[in-house]
Amino acid sequence: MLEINYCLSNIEPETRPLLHQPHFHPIEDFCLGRCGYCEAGAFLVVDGKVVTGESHSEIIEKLEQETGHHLLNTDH
Amino acid sequence: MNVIFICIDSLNRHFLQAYGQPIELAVAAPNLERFAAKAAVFDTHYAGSLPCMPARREYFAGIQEFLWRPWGPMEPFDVSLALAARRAGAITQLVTDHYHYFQYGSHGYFNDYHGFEFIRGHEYDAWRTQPIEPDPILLRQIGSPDPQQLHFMNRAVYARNVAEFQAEEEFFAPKVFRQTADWLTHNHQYDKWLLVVDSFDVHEPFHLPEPYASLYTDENPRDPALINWPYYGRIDQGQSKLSDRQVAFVRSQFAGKVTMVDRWLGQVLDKLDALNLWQKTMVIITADHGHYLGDHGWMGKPNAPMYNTLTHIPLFIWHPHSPLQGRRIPALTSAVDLYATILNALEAEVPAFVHSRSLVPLLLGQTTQHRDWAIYGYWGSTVNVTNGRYTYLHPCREDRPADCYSTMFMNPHGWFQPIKRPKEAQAGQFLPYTEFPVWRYQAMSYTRHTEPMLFDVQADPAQMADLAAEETAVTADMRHLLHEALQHLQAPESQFARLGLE
Repeated sequence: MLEINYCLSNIEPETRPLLHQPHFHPIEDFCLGRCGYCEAGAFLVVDGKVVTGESHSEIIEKLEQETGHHLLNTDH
Repeated sequence: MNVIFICIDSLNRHFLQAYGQPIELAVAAPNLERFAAKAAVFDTHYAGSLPCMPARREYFAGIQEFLWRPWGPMEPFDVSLALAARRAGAITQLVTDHYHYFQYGSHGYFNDYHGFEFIRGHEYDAWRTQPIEPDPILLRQIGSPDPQQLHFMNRAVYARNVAEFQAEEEFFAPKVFRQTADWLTHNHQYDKWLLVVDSFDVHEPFHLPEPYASLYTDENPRDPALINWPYYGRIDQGQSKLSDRQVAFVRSQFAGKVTMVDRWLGQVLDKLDALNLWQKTMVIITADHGHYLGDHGWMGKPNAPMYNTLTHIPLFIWHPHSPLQGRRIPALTSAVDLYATILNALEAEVPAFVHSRSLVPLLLGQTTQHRDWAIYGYWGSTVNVTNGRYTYLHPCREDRPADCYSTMFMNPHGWFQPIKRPKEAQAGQFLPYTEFPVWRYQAMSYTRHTEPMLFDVQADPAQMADLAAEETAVTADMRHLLHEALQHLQAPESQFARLGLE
């Protein structure tokens, strides 16, 4: 289970529901205090570490590769 | 009469002996205690708009802004405290290390003073770019930022800003309060003056010189495993997760900061003694909000229910003509009330449209009742009300956006970043307290809890028992009180909708 902090001012509305799935423990806040990353582009904080990407979907794909889980498939 | 207004950012009420200090640490603050013994101590004082800059617009413009907009600038229609004081013949001065005044998302807060001192370097203040490689231990303790990262608001700037600090006198609160005492020395002979002192300490980072770093802990304060600038959120999960040992250390450093601020605040009180100013000066000491330090499982000012840790704030006022000096004042009061209180003391005009109600009649013993409700919250989120006995925390619907009203564009949730264009905006005379046209634009609502919460804060000051489900009649009464307060303030229609209070 990955703990994922995300920020309301950063998250893309279409990505927000993707984070609510079995392999993730999503933690939402209006600001994560990571304003530099937030201004620069898409980011998530995964188990305490900042992960950046072109989009949140791309970050989730990166996590998929690292964990070996099909994270976007809620059947898993 | 002259006025000194001192705001100590994030000063937790429950860390002070004057308020019973119901915590595990015996935090020493002898100067605050001597002031509390001399002044009127307000027992039921609540923050209004949170966090830092929204609280300051309440103090400096008298507007309870969180129903209309988030963190932002002074508006052109605001009559600032300094401007109103000037018009009443007072010389005005600001002493602060509160860098948010000069950051994206806020401006106009210092322009009306005759003079201001800005002490550089606190928290994210964009001040120093060297040393290129800051102290690696401090970097670990402030959250392990990458010092080579060039994004906005890199925590490494703090390590650079304080790189040359060695003696206690070089830290922030000592500079703020020494400047304050110096200003009094050189300016007290003006006929009438307003001195605003806005200390960013005891706000994080909880980074301290000795002896304060070791006062309330046996740990090595330079142990890199011990964080002094924790991320906001729950202490049991995610980026804000902390061990019990780390939480205890954070609490010890917060306590050390209280003691350090207190020591230097004492220089200001000593100066008032030495210059014999008490009989012609009103002195106010308060905070803007509190700070969770593991309370209810939270750290910082996160997306949490708005418990009293954040919102029930300290207030001490010395008024030379008050018969209540050294006494407790139980009446319900609100942060926004200090604007009119200060202008009243300066015999300055209080604009009719503001939300502030002077506390001077209470201080003079002319009344014991001040207000029936105080509301508080963050823009775009839950809205909360107290009648002094109960606190009622009301959730919002996340499927209903919040409207932002301002003459300026601001980022509703990313306050410190370059301004992003809202998708749509309308202009018009939308505000009940000004004929100025303003922009109206929408942003996402976020709730802090999904069900209403109710606490009897007289019987349960730590708010351990949520009574909303069992005390249904009181819950309904408090919901009605919230509705009444919003109607009184002529809150936007969209607020009623997003709160389900139509």
